Formats: sequence, structure tokens, C-alpha cells
Amino acid sequence: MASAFEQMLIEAEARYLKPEELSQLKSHILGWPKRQHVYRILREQESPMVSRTLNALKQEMPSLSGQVLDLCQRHLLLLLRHSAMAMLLQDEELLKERLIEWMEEEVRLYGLQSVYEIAYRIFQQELKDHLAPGELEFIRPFITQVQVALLF
Amino acid sequence: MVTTASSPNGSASFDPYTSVLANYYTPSAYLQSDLESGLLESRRGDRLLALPEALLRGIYSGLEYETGQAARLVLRNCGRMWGKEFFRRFAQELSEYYQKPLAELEMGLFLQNLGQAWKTHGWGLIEIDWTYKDQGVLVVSIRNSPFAALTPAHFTRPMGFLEAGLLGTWFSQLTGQDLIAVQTTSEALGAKSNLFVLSTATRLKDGEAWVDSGLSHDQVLEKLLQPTPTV
Repeated sequence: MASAFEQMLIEAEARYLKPEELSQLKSHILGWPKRQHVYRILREQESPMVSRTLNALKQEMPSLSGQVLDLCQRHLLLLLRHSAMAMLLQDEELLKERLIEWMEEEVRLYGLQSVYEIAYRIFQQELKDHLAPGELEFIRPFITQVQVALLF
Repeated sequence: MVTTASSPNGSASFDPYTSVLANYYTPSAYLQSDLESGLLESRRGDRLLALPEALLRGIYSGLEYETGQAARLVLRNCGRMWGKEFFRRFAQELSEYYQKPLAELEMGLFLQNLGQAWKTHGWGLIEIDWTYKDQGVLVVSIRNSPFAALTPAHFTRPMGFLEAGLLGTWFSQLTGQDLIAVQTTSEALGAKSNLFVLSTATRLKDGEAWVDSGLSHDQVLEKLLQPTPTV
């Protein structure tokens, strides 16, 4: 499926872009350096953020099995990576198709809701600790979108 | 080659350039089309075939015209062959992707991939009900099946023999037993989903006759779950 952005270019096949389309394109491009900057930080900080979240989770829920922690680690990595890509490309659909549908199923299958309520709280705090407020606002909507889809 | 970034207990660091394995059948990654050549391929490079609705309709009505009652058998056998190939490819794809034999794949992961594979191929939403597994019976539900949606309207019984054949072989290969599937409800007849009961060929040998005689899904299930009378 084409992203909203690609869709716009398809629709403008043999005509000029409308003023609002052009300004949408412009803001997408103007926002690129900042998004790329945040993307890089996420890539660099992924390891400490995910490790710290898992450690804190283990402390809060000492009874979690190695298998659940493993799954949780995989999910956090997926969450961060897909969110980062969705942010970079400004493509929410990507998040839905590649991540949410898949995770929803696993969360249900393994009964992870209560674990993830805590894991998300910790992880959101980790994001705050590792990103400046101006950077956080870029990635947060995507993380929250997944959180809402999985927990409510 | 894809490797897993698995490191238990979250103490290790994660290589940002190593993929985390998840949904192999993500539609945007799995389905690849080339506009120039008109080819449709899977991410592994296997050719995929698009079945236009008109073709499916044509298969149903052509088979009925040519073979009458035997159409069911033909469809079921086609489904069997299809299922065999599909299972082989599914097993190959997943074991390559996760780098372990299918048998060693976690059940949850396996089932999720199955559901996603079904969906990405456009065959609907499949769910497996394990409630009766200890009694040797599985119930499979498929919603939004294109095969049911295109069933000619004059049929008054479930006609998903293609899917039944496919499911039968599929689960036979998976379990190593000779299983068959009988469809008990159909979306084409107004049911919420297409239900299939699966069991060994001996226990289900009269299954189609039960459905023919108008038994409901629950009645078929009940008959199947009855302890076999000892003679």
C-alpha cells in the first residue's frame, strides 16, 4: 500500500501540485534534517534504553519468565525501530501494518497486557531520560499510538 | 542473511543493523510486484499467482457443469495438492527466516505466521480452536474467505472443498497423521465464519454425509466427539 505521501504524488499524475499539497511536501522536506537527527539518536540509544527498561521491569516483576523477558525485549526493539522509521517517513500506516497487527496478536496470545502496562510506563520514562524535549515530541506520538492500540 | 538479535535477559547490547525477526509475511515486504514484467513474487522470489474473481467463479461453475457431483472431489483433491505445496513452501520460508526447522519454532510464533500467511495471501482470517485437541478434533474458522464469497448462490451446503482439502493436507503434514477437514458452516450461507472440523480420516469418513443431511456445526461436532461404540 502506498503511503499518504506517495498517494499524493500518484494523484497529481498529470497536473501541478495544489498549493496545500506543495506546502505539505515542503514541510515534509524541511522537517527531514530534524527527523533524521532524532532517528540517529534513537539508533544510538536503543541499546541502553531497552536494557534499562528490561532491568527495571525485572525488578518490578521478579516473577517474569526468561521467555516473557525475551519476547518483551524483541517487542521493545521492534517498537522502537518501526516507530523510528514511521517517524522518519511520516508514515503511520507503516506502523500499523508492520508492527501493531503483529504485536496485538502476541500480546493477546501470551497474555502480556499487565506486563506491558508496566513496561510502557518504564519505557516512556527512558525515552524522556534519553531525549531532549524537542526530540521526544517527534517520536512520542508513534510510541503512544502503539501503546494505545495494545493496551486499551 | 537474516539473523536474530536475541540476547536473553536484556543485558547485552543490540546491534542496530541486525533485524529483529517478526512478521515474515508483512504484506508490504512479502508481496513484490514488478510492473515492467507483470510478475508477482514473494520476498523469496517464488512466483505468486493472482486469482481473479472471474476465474474462481469460472472454476466453480465449469467444474459443476463438467463433472456434476464429482466437482467436490476434484476441488478437494486440488486443495490437497495445493496444501501440500503450500505447506512445503511455508516450512521452507519460515525455517530459512528463523534459522531453525519448523518443528523447533515456538507454537505461538508458528500460529501467528500461519494467520498472517493466510491473510497476506488473501485467503481470509484464520483462527484455530484447540478446545477439543485432546479428543483429537480441531476446529478451524476462516472469516472473509474469498472462496466462500464467490460460491455460486444456488448451493445450499458449504462448498469450500478447496479449502477443506488444503486444510486437511496442511494439518496432516503438520501432525504426521492422516487428517481430513469437513466444512460445517459457510459465509456463503449467511454464517459468521466458515467453520471446518478436522479429525482423522476414519473418524470423519461420514462427515460430508452428516453435512449433506443438514446437521449443524454443533451437531457434527457432537457426533464426532461421541465416544466410539465398542463392538
